[in-house]
Amino acid sequence: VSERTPASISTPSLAENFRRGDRRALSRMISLLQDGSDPSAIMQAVGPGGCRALKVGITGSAGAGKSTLASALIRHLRQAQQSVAVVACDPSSALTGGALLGDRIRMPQDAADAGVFIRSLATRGAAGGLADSAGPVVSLLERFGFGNILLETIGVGQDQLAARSVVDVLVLAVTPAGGDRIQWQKAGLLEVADIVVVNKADLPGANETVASLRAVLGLPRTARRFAPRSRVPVLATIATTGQGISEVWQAVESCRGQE
Amino acid sequence: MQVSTAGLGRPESNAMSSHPIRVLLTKLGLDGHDRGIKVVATALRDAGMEVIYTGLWQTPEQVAAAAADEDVDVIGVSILSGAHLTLIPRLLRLLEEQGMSHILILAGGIIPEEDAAMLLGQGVARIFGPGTSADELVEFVRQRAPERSNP
Repeated sequence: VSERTPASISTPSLAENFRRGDRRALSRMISLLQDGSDPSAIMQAVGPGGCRALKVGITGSAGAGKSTLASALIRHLRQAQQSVAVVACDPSSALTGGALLGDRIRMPQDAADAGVFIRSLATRGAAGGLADSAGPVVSLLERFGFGNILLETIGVGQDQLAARSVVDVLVLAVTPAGGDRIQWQKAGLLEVADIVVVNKADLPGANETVASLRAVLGLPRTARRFAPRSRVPVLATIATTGQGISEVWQAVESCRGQE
Repeated sequence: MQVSTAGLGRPESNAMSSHPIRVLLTKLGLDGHDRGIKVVATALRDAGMEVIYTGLWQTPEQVAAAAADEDVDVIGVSILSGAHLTLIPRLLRLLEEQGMSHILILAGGIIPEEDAAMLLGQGVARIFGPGTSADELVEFVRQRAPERSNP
């Protein structure tokens, strides 16, 4: 049955299958990008594709709920009959090169639904919160025809900003009681986020966190080089129940409108 | 962050520009016993592999779909519920139908010997029961994971 032994696949036949809409060809090409193949050669082989995807980054600290937010957004988009691909990054060990990619646990796969594609990427030593291949992988998914692409970073602290240059809209997920107002005034992620989501809003301190963030984001800013938005919305969500998710997606779409 | 890995015995085959072995670990069926598979996940991660864990309560269809999207080399199935003779053959059939018979299939859990023989005959490469050492498992995966030569 399987003449498709991995060793026998050549880029030209892969690209042909990719253009015919073969998910397995897409999946193998992502591996090629991850394993160090030249992205420009692969993009040239598959061609430009037909449509422009809405690319949304989800970033924030470990355990903030990024995967659960992605999962809730998948449900929201599928209800609206829009296709969505998710690229979920997790860290590689600096000691062994190994990785435990666990984002799928929060994103149950509907095997019958071809409108969702989920791929886990290990960072393989890259800094900035993303695998080096994440940008080309997002581009490949766009060329394949996914209308929306969610890019989840590894759990990041304050200054891992690689996703900013890959996506159209960057969502920063934080949790309640994450620090006082000065924490939010420090340089870093908050400067480049388009939307801030206070997830786990059923926990104590959520209202205060929303208020602190709104106060800090309302301070006069002169450096608008990275965050072009005139106003950064701060929204409360409970991703496990879906509360606040449609408001987040509305905010994402209105950010795109401002581009 | 730059951490030196010199002297830590990182195997050459896991250098940044090559292909680390990708393993999908899954709990098939209605079975909440995940201690064993979490130990396995850590052992394979520490051996330099990329381990994708699906979590509990997966159907064979979900596992095949995840294996396709993730382009894995190895699937490790853990079953302690007794449903192995129903679920594992169904997974093997789906993988074959979808052109993924190159993937190395391993099983673990409570699987009686006579059932084990049947599963091995159908395409499971090896069954790791209770008491398996992490070294034995890692060595087997390293030796038997399908080769990749990228164009």
